[in-house]
Amino acid sequence: MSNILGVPKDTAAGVLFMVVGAGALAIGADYRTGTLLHMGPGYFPRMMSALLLFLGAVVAILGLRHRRSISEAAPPWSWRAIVTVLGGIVLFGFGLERFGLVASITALTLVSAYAERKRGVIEALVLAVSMNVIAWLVFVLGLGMPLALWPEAGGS
Amino acid sequence: MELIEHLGLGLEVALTPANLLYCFVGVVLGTLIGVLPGIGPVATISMLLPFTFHLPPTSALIMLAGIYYGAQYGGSTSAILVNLPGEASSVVTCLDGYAMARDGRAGHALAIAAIGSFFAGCVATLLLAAAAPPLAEFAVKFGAPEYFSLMVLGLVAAVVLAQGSLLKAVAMVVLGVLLGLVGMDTTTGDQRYTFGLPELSDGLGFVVVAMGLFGFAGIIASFDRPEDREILSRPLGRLLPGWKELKQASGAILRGTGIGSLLGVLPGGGAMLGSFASYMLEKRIAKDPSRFGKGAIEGVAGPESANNAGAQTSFIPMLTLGLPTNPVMALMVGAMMIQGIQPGPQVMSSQPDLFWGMIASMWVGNLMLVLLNLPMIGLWVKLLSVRYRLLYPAILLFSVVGVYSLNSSVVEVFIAAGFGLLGYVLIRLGCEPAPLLLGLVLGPLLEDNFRRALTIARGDPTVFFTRPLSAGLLVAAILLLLAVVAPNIRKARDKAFQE
Repeated sequence: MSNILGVPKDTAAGVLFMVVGAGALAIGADYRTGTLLHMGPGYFPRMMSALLLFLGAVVAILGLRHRRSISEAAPPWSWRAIVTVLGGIVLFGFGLERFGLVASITALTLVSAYAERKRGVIEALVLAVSMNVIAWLVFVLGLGMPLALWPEAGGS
Repeated sequence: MELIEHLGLGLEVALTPANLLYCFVGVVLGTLIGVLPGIGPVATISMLLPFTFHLPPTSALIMLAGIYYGAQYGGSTSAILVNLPGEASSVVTCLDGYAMARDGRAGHALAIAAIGSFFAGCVATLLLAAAAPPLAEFAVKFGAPEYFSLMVLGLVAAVVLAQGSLLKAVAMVVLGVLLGLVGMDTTTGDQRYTFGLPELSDGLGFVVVAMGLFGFAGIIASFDRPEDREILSRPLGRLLPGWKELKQASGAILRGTGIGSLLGVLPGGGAMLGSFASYMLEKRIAKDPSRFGKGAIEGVAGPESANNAGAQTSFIPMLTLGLPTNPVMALMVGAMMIQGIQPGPQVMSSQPDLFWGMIASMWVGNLMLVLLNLPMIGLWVKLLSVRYRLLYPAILLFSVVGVYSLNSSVVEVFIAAGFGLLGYVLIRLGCEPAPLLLGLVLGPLLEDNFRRALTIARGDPTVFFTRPLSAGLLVAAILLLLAVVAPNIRKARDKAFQE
């Protein structure tokens, strides 16, 4: 059974839904509701947020019943992959307009490559080079996308 | 014969050199990602969608459609040879397909899968062409209340037929609808949930969300299970099946095509459901059910025909009603909207080239697929030796560049990364991401039609029940929900998914 801090996963899911529903209600609190005939921007969102909050509560409560039903152990969360894959994407996003395509792709590939536990340095470097070549061939040469390869001279 | 005239027009469009090329690219890519486990049509289509903007709409849609049904062909290859479903819709093919391969009959299994898929693809194309005009004609009469009720029915049905907990699936739809409301309110012009980000005022792009939920989250989730893949070293055996086997399989192909076509039209259907249903049916009507799991050819022929038929008939509600019934169709709707085409019953009359061209291209594409898959099977088998560890960096590369190129916006890259995290958390909490995507696409349409219906009815909320057609659709939705909640049907449904 996959649970965080001993919380059954349906309950965790329900709480997640409740948080989003309540958050949407809170953020949308000052959207005008209007009437059924002249609906304001807040009418439908409020309906949906409340519905999500309610459904989340039901899912969470029903989930508590299954506390004891321990099925086969779920694999542990892949924290390493979360950090490296998403980290690589974020680095790419930060770098693209500042340092150009080559630096961003290299960062993306080198970081995300280590989502894989058993990865040699050479293999990662070879991957980074190949990704750059592919990107150049496909995006720049093939599709003619206006992407700067290197940092713009005088750019920040 | 109108049908022949329509198909003739479609073939004229589909057989232009450019469209033939895009169709070919689509089916090759589809086969490729179908063979490779770990990347499916949803992730691929969202990855490539940004690159199709510069293409003419017809070519773009022909190619994207090719990816979807092409994946159904490719999926069977890895199921049979490696016991790994390349696609979710090929899960049941593993059972008997792999057993046949261990028996040295891999060639027969592959050939029967391809022949069945081709037959099913042809039938489904004809069905699509025949069913579309009357349905569209019917739907043109729909007003706002009918559309609202139709979408509710579609979402309910999608949820009922989805795997896993019903309540969680409903919550995922609602979450998707809420996310769909992000951006400028089309009626009043107010900004909603944009957090002051100008990038959000046009709403969350479905490509961005789909990329995060299916692409990035899928990559992360693949590290939950260690990769072990054993390529079958035995020879494939003779490719062409004998008369006896063909005869044995033909019934299953026919039944699979029927059941797949039918289930494909239903919301939530598409390729996967049909393959499961077909396997169960074949097992139930077999004289000797114990053969199943040990290499029964019907267990390959039925499901593989069904998934291809379903993949194609799932275009029917999308093309005629503008109603996407599965995530792939949601992306197709997205692809059309980005090209400036509002999906719905008017597409057939306003864009006959696009409409019939796309349908005819499916037949052309299926023909290409048989040729690609049978003689060149060795090539695809080699592909299976490409490890995921070398593949996922490339998937990432295409994904991030694709997301960025949508609007030349790095903010959207970050948003996609955020949805990647959300997607992984949701997967781990046992929430299927597909209903969320449907809700996201339908959210704005739901609100719009809800508003317009009430304006027409001068603020009277009973309008949804006083207009007969709308009432019928809503009653059907309620009955469907009740049917699933009822305990005995629920048990049967759970059992069906376990098998």
